[in-house]
Amino acid sequence: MLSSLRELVQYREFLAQFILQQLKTRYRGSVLGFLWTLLNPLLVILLLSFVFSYINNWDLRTFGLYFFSGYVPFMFFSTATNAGAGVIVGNPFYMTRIYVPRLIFPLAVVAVNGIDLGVGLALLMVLALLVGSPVTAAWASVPVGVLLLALFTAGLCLLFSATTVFLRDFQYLWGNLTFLLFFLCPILYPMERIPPGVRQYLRLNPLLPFLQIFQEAAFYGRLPSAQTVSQAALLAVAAALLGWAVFVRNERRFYLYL
Amino acid sequence: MQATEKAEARRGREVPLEAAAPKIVLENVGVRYKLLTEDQRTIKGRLLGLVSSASSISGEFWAIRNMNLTIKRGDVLGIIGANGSGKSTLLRVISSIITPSEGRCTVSGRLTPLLELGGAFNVELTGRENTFLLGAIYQKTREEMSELLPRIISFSELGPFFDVPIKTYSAGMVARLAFAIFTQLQPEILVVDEVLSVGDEHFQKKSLMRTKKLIEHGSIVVIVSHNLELIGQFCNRAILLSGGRLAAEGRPGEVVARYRRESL
Repeated sequence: MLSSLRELVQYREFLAQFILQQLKTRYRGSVLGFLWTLLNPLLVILLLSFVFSYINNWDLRTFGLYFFSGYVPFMFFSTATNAGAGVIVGNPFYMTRIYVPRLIFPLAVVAVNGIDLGVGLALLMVLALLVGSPVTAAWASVPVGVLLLALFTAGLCLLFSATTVFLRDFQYLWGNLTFLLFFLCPILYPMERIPPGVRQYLRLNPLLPFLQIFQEAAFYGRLPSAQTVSQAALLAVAAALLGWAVFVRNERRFYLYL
Repeated sequence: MQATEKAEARRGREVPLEAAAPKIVLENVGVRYKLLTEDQRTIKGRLLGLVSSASSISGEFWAIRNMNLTIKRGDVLGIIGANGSGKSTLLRVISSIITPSEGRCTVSGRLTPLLELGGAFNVELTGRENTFLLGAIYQKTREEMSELLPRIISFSELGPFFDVPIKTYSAGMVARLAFAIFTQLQPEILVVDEVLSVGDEHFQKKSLMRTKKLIEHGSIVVIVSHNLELIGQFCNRAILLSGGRLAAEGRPGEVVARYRRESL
């Protein structure tokens, strides 16, 4: 494990270049370019807040902030893990024609999507100010949330990218599972509106403690409970160790399946 | 250090204790592939494989086996053989892309594999951007690459096209850029797969000159080619692969002659 970490340090220049390349080519050719990173979440929040507050007759401004505080971290998790699941099979050249540490690719996916997360969180803060919700000291827990969520996501990206090599169906399966996961997370609804009998099952969702850190800070303006943070930390470390171990153990066999 | 060595040994490689002259040693190397049918990678295929014994049989074959070979400083080794004889697999073992299924491959020296030209490029990016990307693959920093940049630009003869996305390049232009970058990286071990046959005659001559210079500086060059003329005039050693085994080894002229006799 240490040796692959050391190798990663050796190849940090390539990691940086690969991330840069992904960012550069993403919006190349489009008129608005990098602005889309800002526009995408903005359009989603406008649309969904409007539709759902209309259906449920909720206050648009309150609901908008609530929705966005869960949507931003969820989208980071969802986009990164789905891109991560396909990143090894999507870059066969780097696996079969050349030697670079394979770990770089799933980790780069997390980094690239981390940019979007940063932009989304900045928008969230602006939104909080706009709707008159005080930006309190509780926001200090947001960086902790980002760190834990990124670690959790990186672990799953490693795990999923390796899984897809041996089982191609996995990335399509996961695409659908994340869609389901979206509705199982309290993003479009507050947890209190769910009957207690169902709620205890929804609490088993491993993504929940991560989302709560963001929702507590941005919407409720309070620090997350110690229990929430320790749950998230435990899950993040467990996912990272599992993903790393599975990936490193199997990477020499990738070649045979690509 | 110890941890690294253990890890490297796991990968079937050994880390030299001191930086010695570049050297490649293959001891009894074998690479086994699985013959995968397309549906064995999917869930449906796996499930079917559990119930019907027919589809669960997956064949295996040895792409190379019992390979013993030592390549030393100053060697310009040509590898020849029919399609499917294991040439590319051998190159990939040497380039550390494949870990041998059995045996051991030890490489000391800075290795720059040049396999399938231009594949490492991102076609959306310009020649300049790709130069830095490729440099990073070989662990060069931005500063080091910036220093090499003028020579890469002049050697590639791309002129204004250097700052244009690669997708607009012709195949020859891509090859020129790749070759210009690779040789400027000053590799101790240059592994080349069918690249000297691309580009026009002028550029081929230039590449040959450049490669000759690398050899004079104590590099190892390993070339795979179907161009037997080139192997004959350019290499000082050749091996013939046949069915994944070492069929002949010796002076290029003799090995090429034997290959010609056998393939008749």
